[in-house]
Amino acid sequence: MFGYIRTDDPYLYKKDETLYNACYCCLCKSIGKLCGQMARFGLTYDVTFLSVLLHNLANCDITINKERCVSHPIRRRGIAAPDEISEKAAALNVILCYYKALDDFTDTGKRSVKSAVFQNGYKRAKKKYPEIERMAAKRYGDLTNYEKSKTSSVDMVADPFSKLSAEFSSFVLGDSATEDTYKIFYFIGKWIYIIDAIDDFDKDKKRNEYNVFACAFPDCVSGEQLIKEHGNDVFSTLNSVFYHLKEGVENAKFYFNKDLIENVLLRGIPKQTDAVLKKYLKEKEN
Amino acid sequence: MPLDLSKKNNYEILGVTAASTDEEVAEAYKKLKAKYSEDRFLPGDAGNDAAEMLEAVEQAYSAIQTERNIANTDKSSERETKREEPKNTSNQETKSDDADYAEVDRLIKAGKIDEAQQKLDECSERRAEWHYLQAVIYYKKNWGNECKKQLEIAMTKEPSNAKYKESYDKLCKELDFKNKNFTSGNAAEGKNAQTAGKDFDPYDRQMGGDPCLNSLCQCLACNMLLNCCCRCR
Repeated sequence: MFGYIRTDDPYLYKKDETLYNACYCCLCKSIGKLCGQMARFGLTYDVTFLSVLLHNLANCDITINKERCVSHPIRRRGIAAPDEISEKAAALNVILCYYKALDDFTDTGKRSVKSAVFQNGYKRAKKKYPEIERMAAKRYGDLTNYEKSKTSSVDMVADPFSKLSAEFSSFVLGDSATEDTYKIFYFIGKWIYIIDAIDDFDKDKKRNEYNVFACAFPDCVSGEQLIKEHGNDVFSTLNSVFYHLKEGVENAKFYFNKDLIENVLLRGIPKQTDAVLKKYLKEKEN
Repeated sequence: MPLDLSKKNNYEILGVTAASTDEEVAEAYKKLKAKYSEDRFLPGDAGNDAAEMLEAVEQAYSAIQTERNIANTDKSSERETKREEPKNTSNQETKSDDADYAEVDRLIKAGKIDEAQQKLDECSERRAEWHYLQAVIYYKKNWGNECKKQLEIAMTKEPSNAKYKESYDKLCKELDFKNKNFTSGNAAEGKNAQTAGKDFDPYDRQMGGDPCLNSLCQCLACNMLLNCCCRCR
């Protein structure tokens, strides 16, 4: 479910690239410090972006220092100094990784190596931030229930993950959380869930696992057919996500310039969506 | 055990009849599920048969449930149409429903979405307004598609109501939202042109500060040095 949030590189300013990389490294180090070295493998750009977004919304600047790290021992790189927000993001990252590994375990019935890798980190994150763990446990429980009931409503099954993202933002932002910030995070979560469901359509079909689009349109046998025949239903769901993201970005109060935020939310996300949809259309051409 | 499932209908698989109540069906389902869940680990064909039966039982039960749900909603909508005709006689009920709807509306406005949903679920009669309120709740929960479905129901029940139509059109605009701004590629440039005239924009602070802004220069300097080295051969 991770790795969908990307920047639109041709339109990314160099300054923002530096910032993004610095936050990425910072998150990596925070995970290492908080949850142990093994958990660092779970680092994702998605959570990095959430961390940047939260820093901006919370009026919390970052300090960049040049440091060396394990994976880049020779050249010193700009790394943001760890603070509370990145530590919370780190905890979220590890907790999500652990739950995802558990989810794979229940889906396939095979205990994956991943859950063992993240188990220790998960325990440490849980100890430090029990609130985040509680949120994740509750929402993943909801998600499992919805998936078990084989609901065909996209809105419903995407709700737990969206809410988890939104609740995390409210937890981190505290008093500066507003309806707009809630909305931005809600729709980021929703988009991730939906795009993952579309992307995995063929895989889920093959393995006979739950996929919300397969339940909504039972006559579809492949992702290609889904896009071809029910494209409009799929697009309208995605369009409403884009609409609300744009509205959220326009209305929310940002304390720093929002070039990077706009790049990711208004360009990267639609671009990534296109890439996923094109994957199915391209297969047809070949 | 002979597995001739194709000839059996859903009720026969569960060992009940179409006349059985929901509780009886559920009871039979539970018993069979427990039995086959255990039996499927038996060695050989017995295990395989049990696994197949388990699947059949699951399918039969869910089919019966959907069937009965549809039948129920049909019945209730029939009841609604019947009620609507002799409107004067059931005036009192309509009034109490109106009061309920007003209460739901108040709860929504107060931001108590969960309470509103609960209250709405308690309403027995589902008129157009009910579906409209459900749509509003879905909208508040950011469930665009479900909201659209409810509005569509409300509109078919009361096509003359302008409020429903208006909300529906507004929602459709969101769902048809095309992100022209980003794909045509000028969002960032347009903004730069706007901010170019300003001396200082408080919202244009760069997060991370100097290291971010200087990085390009460093890269360039680095690049230049490297280039120099290469050419000095």
